[in-house]
Amino acid sequence: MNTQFKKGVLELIVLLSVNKKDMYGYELVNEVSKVIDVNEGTIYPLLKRLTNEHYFETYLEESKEGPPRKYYRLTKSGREQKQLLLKEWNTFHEQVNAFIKESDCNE
Amino acid sequence: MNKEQFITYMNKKLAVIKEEERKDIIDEYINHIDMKVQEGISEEEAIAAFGDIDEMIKEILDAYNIDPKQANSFDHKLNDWIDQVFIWFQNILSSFTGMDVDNVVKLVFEILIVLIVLAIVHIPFEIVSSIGGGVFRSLLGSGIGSLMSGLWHLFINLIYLVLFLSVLVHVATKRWAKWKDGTDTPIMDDVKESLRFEQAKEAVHRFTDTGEKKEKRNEEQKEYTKSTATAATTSSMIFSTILKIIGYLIALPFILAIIGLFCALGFLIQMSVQGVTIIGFYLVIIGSIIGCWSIVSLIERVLCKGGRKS
Repeated sequence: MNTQFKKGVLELIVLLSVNKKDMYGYELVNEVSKVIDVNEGTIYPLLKRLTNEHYFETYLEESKEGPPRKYYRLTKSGREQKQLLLKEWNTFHEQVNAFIKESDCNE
Repeated sequence: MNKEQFITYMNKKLAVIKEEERKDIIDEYINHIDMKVQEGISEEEAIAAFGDIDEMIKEILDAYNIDPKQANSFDHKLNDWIDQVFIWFQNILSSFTGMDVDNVVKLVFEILIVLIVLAIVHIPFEIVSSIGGGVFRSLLGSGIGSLMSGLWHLFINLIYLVLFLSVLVHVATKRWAKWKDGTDTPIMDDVKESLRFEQAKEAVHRFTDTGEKKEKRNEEQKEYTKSTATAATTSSMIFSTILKIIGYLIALPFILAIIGLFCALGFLIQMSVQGVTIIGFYLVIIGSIIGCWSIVSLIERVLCKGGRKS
């Protein structure tokens, strides 16, 4: 898939995933990988950016298998951002689809 | 790239980000790799799955609103500049001598070692010179004594100068010859060799001087005639003796200070008996005694350890 497409939608998918439940980095990477095939390395910088922009807050929780895990939780402004992106995506999606249909008819 | 290399690379490339944050990010990646390894995937494969690492680094910097070009610019400029200077230096050197920069750096380092060794060797000369001067002055009075001690200083320093220059020349020519041959031996061997050689020579010089040096001369000549198999041990013995002498010289003032401080303590006690007690002085003196004592015992321990080792 076009990497530019992926990049644009990656933030939305990450926000949606964390909205479902708090997740730690590796879990999130796996979750996102289910939806889109993305380089695993690129998700961590995104998590960092979303945390820096206060859409996420983090906390540590002990794990049985190893060192404590850093969990990501959606903040209030994170939820707002998620709503905004979702709305934008839907509009965008509808417009693009409408345009595709239109150009199909013209063919 | 394995995990260690990855961590080193990330740390280097993300150096602009403050340490705490950097660790936080890199820890995430380390966790990720560890999890992959637990699932039976190798470190290398896990890191390969990250994709282009430089791209990833760009995105991390982007998360901090750092322009990657800006972040690199100083680093890059400095690196380029150092590279240029290095190449320039290399060109000049090779045009003159046809030697590698590595070899030149090595040569400079070796010269430094030789100079340090010679500086250490100077210490016993200094001692002999000052003791001799003192003896002359006390035996012959201030007039002739001063003259004699001056001559003595001159004589000892001349011997040292001869030793210094010949060791330097000897080592340098040896190194040069070895370079031409392309073989390489530890510099210390050369230094030891030339030192032994010079000591024997010097002993012959001294033979004409005084009877008191006879014993030392014999020792040195013995050393000189000893087979090369035992050469290393004798040299290390010389070095450890020199080190011990230095150690004792350092310890001496502290020992004297302790004696002095005890005298002062006695004086204070006497004053207390007479009715004047100054607690501050007590504390200062006792503290100083403890301090000096610990330094002396430290030196002693170092010397004993060194002795046992050799």
